[in-house]
Amino acid sequence: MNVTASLIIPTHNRSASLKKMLNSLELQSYPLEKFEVIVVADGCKDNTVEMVNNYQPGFHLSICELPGLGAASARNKGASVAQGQTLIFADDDMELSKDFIKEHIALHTNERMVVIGYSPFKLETNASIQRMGVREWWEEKFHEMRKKDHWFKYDNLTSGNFSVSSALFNKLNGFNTSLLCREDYELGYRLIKSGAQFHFAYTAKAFHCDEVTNLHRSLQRKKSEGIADIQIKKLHPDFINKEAIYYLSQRSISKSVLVKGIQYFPSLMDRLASFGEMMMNVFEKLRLLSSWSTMNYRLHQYWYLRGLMLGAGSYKQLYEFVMKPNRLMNEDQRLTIDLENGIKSAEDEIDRLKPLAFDIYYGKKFIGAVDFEPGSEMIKGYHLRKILKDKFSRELSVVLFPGQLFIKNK
Amino acid sequence: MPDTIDDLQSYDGAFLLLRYHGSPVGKIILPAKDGKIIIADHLDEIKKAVKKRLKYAAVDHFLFSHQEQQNATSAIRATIAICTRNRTDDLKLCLDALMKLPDRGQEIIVVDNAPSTDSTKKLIEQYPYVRYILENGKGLDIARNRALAEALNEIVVFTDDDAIPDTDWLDNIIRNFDHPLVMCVTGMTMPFELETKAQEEIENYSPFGKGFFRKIFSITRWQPLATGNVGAGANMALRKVLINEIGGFDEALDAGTPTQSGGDHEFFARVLLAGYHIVYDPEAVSWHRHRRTWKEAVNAIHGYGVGVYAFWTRLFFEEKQYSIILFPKHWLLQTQLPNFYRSIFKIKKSYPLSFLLAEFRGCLKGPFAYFKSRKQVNQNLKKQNG
Repeated sequence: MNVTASLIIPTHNRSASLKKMLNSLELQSYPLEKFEVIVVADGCKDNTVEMVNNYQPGFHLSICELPGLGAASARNKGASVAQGQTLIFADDDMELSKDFIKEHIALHTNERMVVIGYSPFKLETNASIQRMGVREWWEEKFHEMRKKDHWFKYDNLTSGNFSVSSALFNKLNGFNTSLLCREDYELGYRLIKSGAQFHFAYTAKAFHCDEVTNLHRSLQRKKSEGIADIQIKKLHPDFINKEAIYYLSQRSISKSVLVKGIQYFPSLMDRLASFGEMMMNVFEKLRLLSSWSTMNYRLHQYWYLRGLMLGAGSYKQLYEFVMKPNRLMNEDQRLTIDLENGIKSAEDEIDRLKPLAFDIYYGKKFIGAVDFEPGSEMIKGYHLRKILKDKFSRELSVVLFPGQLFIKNK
Repeated sequence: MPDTIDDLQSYDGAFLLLRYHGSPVGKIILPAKDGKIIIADHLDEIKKAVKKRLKYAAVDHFLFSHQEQQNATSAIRATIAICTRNRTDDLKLCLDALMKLPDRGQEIIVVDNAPSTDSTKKLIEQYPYVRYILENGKGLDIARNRALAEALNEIVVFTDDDAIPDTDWLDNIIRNFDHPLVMCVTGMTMPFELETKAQEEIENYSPFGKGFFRKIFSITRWQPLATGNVGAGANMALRKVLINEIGGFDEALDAGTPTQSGGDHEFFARVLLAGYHIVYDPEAVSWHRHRRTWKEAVNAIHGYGVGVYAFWTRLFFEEKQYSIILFPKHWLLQTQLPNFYRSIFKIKKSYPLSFLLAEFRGCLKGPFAYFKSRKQVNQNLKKQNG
């Protein structure tokens, strides 16, 4: 067998949707004899194994079985038996576009490439607001990545639709199987640190037909994410967890109530939270959307903090752990970029000096600092405009606004 | 900016749309003295009018000005649709403006809605690139649905027959569709002329422009039933595929039916309820000719009142959006009563009482108008089906 690509699909008791997926693979525009499909049946109790064994494909198909170790282990298992140079990972509830494999392969020009595909979230009619929100979250994420000046970060890696060379994947020992979730972010983190080049492929499209995400799962997931984020921080001490910092640096009464509650009456708080969840359904029925949004925000905040504190032990430990400043780089490496000669020359300056971090000035006026963030790709000149627009519009406007705009040009 | 604005002999003042390198940043009405306005005399007022937006426009210009227009050759094609009825003078102005748009492979169609003469048809014969469609069912929303059915392209851009779009209008609308959840885009509508007191007052009371900042509306950041600020049907675009999911415009609503308006706002509510985005882009500028006489202006305001309550009625009974029941109270207490108070006691910045009364009368009529209109539509449907 001589294949260039291996498509790895971990699956768990979803024989019907997997079969649909296998059928759709027959239609790939990429030559069928040049890729293999590896199904990893993880703790399947339905007829998945039987279905795959009886399936008569036009492509190379194999199956491995695991006793239910989770998606990260399943993906690693698939990678360990794969023969293609490029590994493509997809989920078992996806509808692949006809060019899916072709578009992934096309971008793998060297071993450092990591290609993230576009997976629009398929929504049913009369969906709940929560599921509309999930779709929105995914689309925003892809929309940002699609921009030419996007600055890639570890959390752009989505395990359900990406490809990587098997050499790079094996060098990093694949996914970390000890994490509760967010193993894709953790792999993304190590990939970027190892110098991988992230790319987004809008044309490597796979509809994500996730029918199980709902409010309850989303909240439970938030708690797991809290725990996992602490695990990741323990593995990578220089990791900066922006989400945790965002929640922990808030100075509001509701936040301290949540924290105190979790510290002293966790089971009561959990019960209150499930009551809040029930209220959200009522709010949605009555279309009280602002109450719904507030409660949605609070509950996600609650479960995330709950997870973080479970992971860290106590609030004090958590706070020190997440908020303590990291000494990530020698401050001598911090440079100054001046905008006064125009944006183009500032961009060239960044490309010439290749700074890890820099302060932005306009003449003598300080605009803002771009810090070194482990887990982000090397900053390049073309990232600058978007950073200025997204983060420093206000500061820049203050410098640009007065005076010169009202000089009469005769 | 010019030093002075001349040739204003017959006017008291001028309405100015202020732009910074092409981007609209503010609007202002300045008084004329001896037939001209000296800009230097009004710098402070102008500064105040552009204060909020100008600094961000300056940032955009600083960052992006020398990048070539990225979306100039956007792959998305559009059909421009004009729904019209017996208004050939206005329509001619509109079509002449559309002829000046750069060619992006767009198609232009005119839906002639239950005309009483063939003057529109004759006018269209002079424009070889414009397709004429006759729609005998009377009603703006019937015409809109016909336009959606006839359009050949993915995006359908609607303009009123009494609106005159800028030359970069189409490009500035289309570029917003690069986000897959954006199903609908509205532009900024400015007054084409303020020749009469009626036009001035209507622009003041119910401006079609909704500010100088781009806004994204969606169910996660906006109450989806409050669509008054989203924009208006005179300057809007949508993806045709949307119709398969949420249905077309409600033919019991808007001009030509007892409900008089509201078809666009009711449609926007359904777009948001389905979880899609609507973008308001103030750079997509179109100039609307308001009704000239006082009587026409009062009728238009009355029509808005009827339309709002009519579309709320539909949302309540047909979309089962029961929380709409809170809106009338809110509008009455927060806006209508204070406006009456200001108007009666002639407090600064008050609106003409006749507008407020007309609107209020319209509101009371709205629900009945909707049921009446609904009945008519159903009867017509029965007739058609034999």
